[in-house]
Amino acid sequence: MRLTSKRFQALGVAAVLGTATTLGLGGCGGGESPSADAAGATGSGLEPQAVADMLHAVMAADRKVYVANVVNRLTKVQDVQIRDPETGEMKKLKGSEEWDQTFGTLPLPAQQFRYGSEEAFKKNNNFEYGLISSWSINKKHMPKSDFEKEKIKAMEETGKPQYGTEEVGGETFFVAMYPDRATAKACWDCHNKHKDSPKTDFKQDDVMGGIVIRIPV
Amino acid sequence: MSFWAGWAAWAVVVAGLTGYLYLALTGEDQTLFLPGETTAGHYQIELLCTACHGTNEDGTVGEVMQSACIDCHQEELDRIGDSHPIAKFAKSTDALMLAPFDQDFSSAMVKSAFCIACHVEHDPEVTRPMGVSEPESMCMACHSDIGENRETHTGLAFTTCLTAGCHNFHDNGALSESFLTKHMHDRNHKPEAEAVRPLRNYGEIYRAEQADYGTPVVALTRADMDAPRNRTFDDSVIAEWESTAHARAGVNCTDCHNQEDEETGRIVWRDQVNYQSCQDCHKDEAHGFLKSRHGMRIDAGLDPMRPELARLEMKASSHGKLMNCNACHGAHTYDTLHAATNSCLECHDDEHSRNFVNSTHHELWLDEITGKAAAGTGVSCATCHLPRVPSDVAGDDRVYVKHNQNDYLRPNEKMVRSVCMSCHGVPFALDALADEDLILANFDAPPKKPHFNPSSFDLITQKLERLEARGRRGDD
Repeated sequence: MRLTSKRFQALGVAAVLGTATTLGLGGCGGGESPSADAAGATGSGLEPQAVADMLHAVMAADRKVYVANVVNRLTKVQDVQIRDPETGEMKKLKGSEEWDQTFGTLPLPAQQFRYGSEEAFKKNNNFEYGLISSWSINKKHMPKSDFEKEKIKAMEETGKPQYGTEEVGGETFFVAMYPDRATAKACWDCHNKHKDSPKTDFKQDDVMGGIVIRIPV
Repeated sequence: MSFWAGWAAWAVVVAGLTGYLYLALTGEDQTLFLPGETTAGHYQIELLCTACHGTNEDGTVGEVMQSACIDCHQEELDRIGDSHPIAKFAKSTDALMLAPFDQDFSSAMVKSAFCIACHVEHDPEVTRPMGVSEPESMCMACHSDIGENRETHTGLAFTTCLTAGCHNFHDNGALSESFLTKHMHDRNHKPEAEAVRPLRNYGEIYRAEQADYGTPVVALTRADMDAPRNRTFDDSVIAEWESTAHARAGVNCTDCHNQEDEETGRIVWRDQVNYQSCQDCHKDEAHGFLKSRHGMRIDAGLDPMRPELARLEMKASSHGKLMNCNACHGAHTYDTLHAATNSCLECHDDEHSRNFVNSTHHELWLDEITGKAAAGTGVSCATCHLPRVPSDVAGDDRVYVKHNQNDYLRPNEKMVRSVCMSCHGVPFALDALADEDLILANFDAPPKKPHFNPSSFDLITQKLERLEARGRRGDD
């Protein structure tokens, strides 16, 4: 059963404030910061766009912190070497899609983001979020609906967040799409070298994809 | 027939039907109310509707509880790193892709995170192996473009996706591309010195702990027995206990036989020991047992499983045996070597089990138990299906026997990492596990054909060659 729009708004705000407080984070990660008056508070609660902007602020901040302070710092800045317990040889610490089955590897930033999305879904399946890209390594993360395909083009061209409403399965969603940029060497290095990557010339600050948030309205 | 004889016959029929209905409603056997045959995973508990279903306010059987699925299965899904957690389909656009494959409700159920979206029960006509009720083409819902995205997969039929050695839906731990790439040149057999399973170490850990606590373990003899004086025992029972790790670790009679009386809360001596006594010390083993095919009835609050209730072939001589800890471990001997093979073969009578004695694995097992080979080099039934696995138990690196054989059974590729790779290379193991005849023969010979043609390793080789031809590196 879905929550009513107002209940959802209240929940969304509480979730955002709660998470932001817990993590002690503020500001926005590798994406654009929407202007404060893009969608403001109304007398009866927050508009979906305001909720989405706040959710995105938390998501992008967490993403930036993980990429910069964990993955990039350990694998690129410090170039950490670890001893493989099976072979006894020293090897480079790196991110790996199979981090959970491979000794001494870190979850990839895209996985870390997806796991967060899956955990959030377990707690509350009234909103959805995820990463999409025109050049995703996992083809399941390409834009799917006509709406996503149209908006991602506009986002890639302008570098600005895109908003709109879309009907999926008889349900109407407010959809927000925020540019996800290459913020650290770990981002473009991995994507440019990955054998399944369709694009091999990403550079710093390029829009590599987008964070999509859907809120039923 | 006279008028009264007709009435009498009618009365007998009505009384008979009423009696039948009364017994069906109130009796132990509720088979009449099963809407259809259950799957191999659930038939043991099928007559306890509330094991999976909720109860409506009026007392009737309600909807399936997702929590029932989670209680039994989530632990394994978390451990293996589920490739398709239900939350992966959380986005409406994902759930919608499943709509064409609905039987009647899948996409909505997936969106609501219900396992029964793909695992409908009581419907044997649409149920395939692993209790999957979605059609064989289900992978196409999301992966119909695989041929465009992966040149190596162009032209492959959807019926081949879940071919042994290629892909599983939930557990791809031994089937991911990078894992297979890393192991594609593995040798068939590891060198003898490396082909060893880890050994149980609970005894060592327990002794070290007790020494730390200032109460070092002292081995017990019959002079130390603390059973009540009014109990008499056959000498063989005492001799059996004296010979066990229990006596050597200071585990006395009352440690197992003294139990809390549920009604009075007082500690009383019980001749019959149940799993609760065992789990005081063997918590993780008991947990696995309760989730296993052997213990799931006890876990659901039913009588223990008995071999004659099984759908698998069981020996008639085993009928009546109650599947509790003692069924495999014996009442006082606790002989783990016996439990590792003989206990299994006392009941199991299918072709794979019967052929164990013809296998190379069995030869290795005989060498180990007769002292010709080192401990950990033999292969018993338990080595593969109830394996000793290093685990983090309360901060200790403990090797203990995983008693839930579901984790090491089907789909059998799930055994590759945790078991087969101890001794075999990955290509060898995948080929062997894909060969149904070889499984029935209990691996009496090396596999003679690849798990599929082209094999996963052929496809990886093709891909790497294409990348190289394009001057691309092979990072993942």
